[in-house]
Amino acid sequence: MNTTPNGSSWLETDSLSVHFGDRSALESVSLTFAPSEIVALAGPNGAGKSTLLRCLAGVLQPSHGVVRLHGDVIHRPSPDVVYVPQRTAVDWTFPSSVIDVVLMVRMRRRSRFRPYSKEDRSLAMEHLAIVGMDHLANVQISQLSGGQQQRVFLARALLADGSIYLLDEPFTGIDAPTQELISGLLGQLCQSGKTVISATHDLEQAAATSDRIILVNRTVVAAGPPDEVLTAANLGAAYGGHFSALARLAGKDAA
Amino acid sequence: MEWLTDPWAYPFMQNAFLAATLVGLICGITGTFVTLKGLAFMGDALSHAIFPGVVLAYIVGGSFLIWAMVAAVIVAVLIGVVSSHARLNNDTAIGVLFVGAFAVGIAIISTQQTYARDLTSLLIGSILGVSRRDLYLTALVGAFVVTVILLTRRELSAIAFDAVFAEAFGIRVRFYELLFLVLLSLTIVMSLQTVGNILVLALLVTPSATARLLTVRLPAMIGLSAAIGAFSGLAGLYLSYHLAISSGASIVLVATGIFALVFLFSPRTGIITTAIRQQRHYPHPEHDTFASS
Ligand SMILES: Nc1ncnc2c1ncn2[C@@H]1O[C@H](COP(=O)(O)OP(=O)(O)OP(=O)(O)O)[C@@H](O)[C@H]1O
Ligand SMILES: [Mg+2]
Repeated sequence: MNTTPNGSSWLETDSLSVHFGDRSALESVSLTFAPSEIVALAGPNGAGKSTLLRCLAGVLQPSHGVVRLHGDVIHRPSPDVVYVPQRTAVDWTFPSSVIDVVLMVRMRRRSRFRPYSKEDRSLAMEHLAIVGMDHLANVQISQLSGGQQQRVFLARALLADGSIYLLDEPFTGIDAPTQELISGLLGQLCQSGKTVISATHDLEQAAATSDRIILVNRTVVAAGPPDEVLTAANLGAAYGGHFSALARLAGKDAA
Repeated sequence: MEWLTDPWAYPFMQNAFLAATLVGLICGITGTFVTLKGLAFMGDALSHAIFPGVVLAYIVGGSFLIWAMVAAVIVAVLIGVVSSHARLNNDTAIGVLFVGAFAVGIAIISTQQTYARDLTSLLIGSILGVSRRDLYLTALVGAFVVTVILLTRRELSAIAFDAVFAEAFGIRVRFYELLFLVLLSLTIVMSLQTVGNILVLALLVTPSATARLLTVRLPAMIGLSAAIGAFSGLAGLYLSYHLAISSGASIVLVATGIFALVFLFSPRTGIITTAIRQQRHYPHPEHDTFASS
């Protein structure tokens, strides 16, 4: 095995392929991720961004190839990887309040014979305060707006405290202040040594806030710093050339 | 007062009262998750799928409870396996397997001569026939089911709330779903003698649905559902004694009556209370502020 000693292999995929029936969603994807970096996954609808994140999260087993986390091949979700999916299957009528939702991630630390402690609750409140939702802690989850729900899920992800964060389109359908809040928090995660990988459709925002952009369309089209990746040739290859913002973005790079 | 104490003079009524309250309580707790996970159809299916087990118990002999549980668990596992196929959803798997299992029971029973009486008691229960031994067995199975549910409450509610999150969080979703189906099977079999397999669904769904209307907190919902279930069992049996109606039916009717009252008059969600409140707040629709724009 080519695992390097002591954490120098942080997170990587090795010729990862995913097939759904006879359709292939990802083809031999080999990527490595380092601590303290913010990576954006971009590409058209159906490019395989969500599929790649699900493999990294350990909820989808690749058809070929492997995902290695700290050197070990993963076969199921790890507590060290926090995954916030694109579409959740949330039952909004479920009888739980905002704080109950955040508390869920304390489950692993709390014995099943005991209720959640004062410490759990105050940690949950702290994290709700970080996303500006502490004043709504006791509100039924269904009474929140979409953006508020997103903030609550972010608080829950922060409390889960992994070393790798996978976020599938965290900026979709969200107002500007919330976007700013979320990208600020992601920056802080990165500074504290964590890896943040998010799928996005907002290339300008990705260029401004990420260390690396990975353009995917079934395979990796390009990967690297934003100004190297966002060229007309790469964007054309990823999006098939029918993308009116192509010229603008590529033009801005050239300037 | 005599109205309340009279029935307790008979030992078989004492057993019946204890059994009805116990079954109401346990069904109320299991039922909370049946309601939250939208498993009413599954409950209905399992209560029918145990039929071949019951038939075999009559023919081959042996404990009716054990045979029924074996049948229920086999069908629950098969439903889990079939519905994991990508093209078939859960409801379809349930539909295929429960009718199939029911047909097996009918096929076996049609080879026998004398089954009409036993069949009736299976369908509507025979609470007056509950012995001390049955009662102990019910209490034992019930204690087991409730303990396991309470110990796995966080996993069960995380899965019911958001299965995608639960899986990504590393909860073994399929394991807990299967475990819950087994607990549900045990609850149903345990309730058979008291309310019969047609009415058990009402004890699983009605008290928890009522509790859901009354609270937005899960622990409160579990407690209320258990209390409503136990009360329905107790009050229903009194009604049955004094009005001489079928015990299973009167237990379910009490539960349904409570549901109807709450549905109409509960302070926050009752449809009549809500309508009255809206009348008070908006007595003059012509002054609606949007009308002027
Ligand atoms: N569960 C599934 N079963 C079958 N095909 C799937 C499944 N999930 C994804 N696919 C297919 O895999 C391909 C990649 O899908 P994926 O969801 O990863 O795209 P994406 O890049 O996240 O797209 P979007 O930008 O729309 O979110 C698509 O062609 C999709 O149809
Ligand atoms: Mg996607």
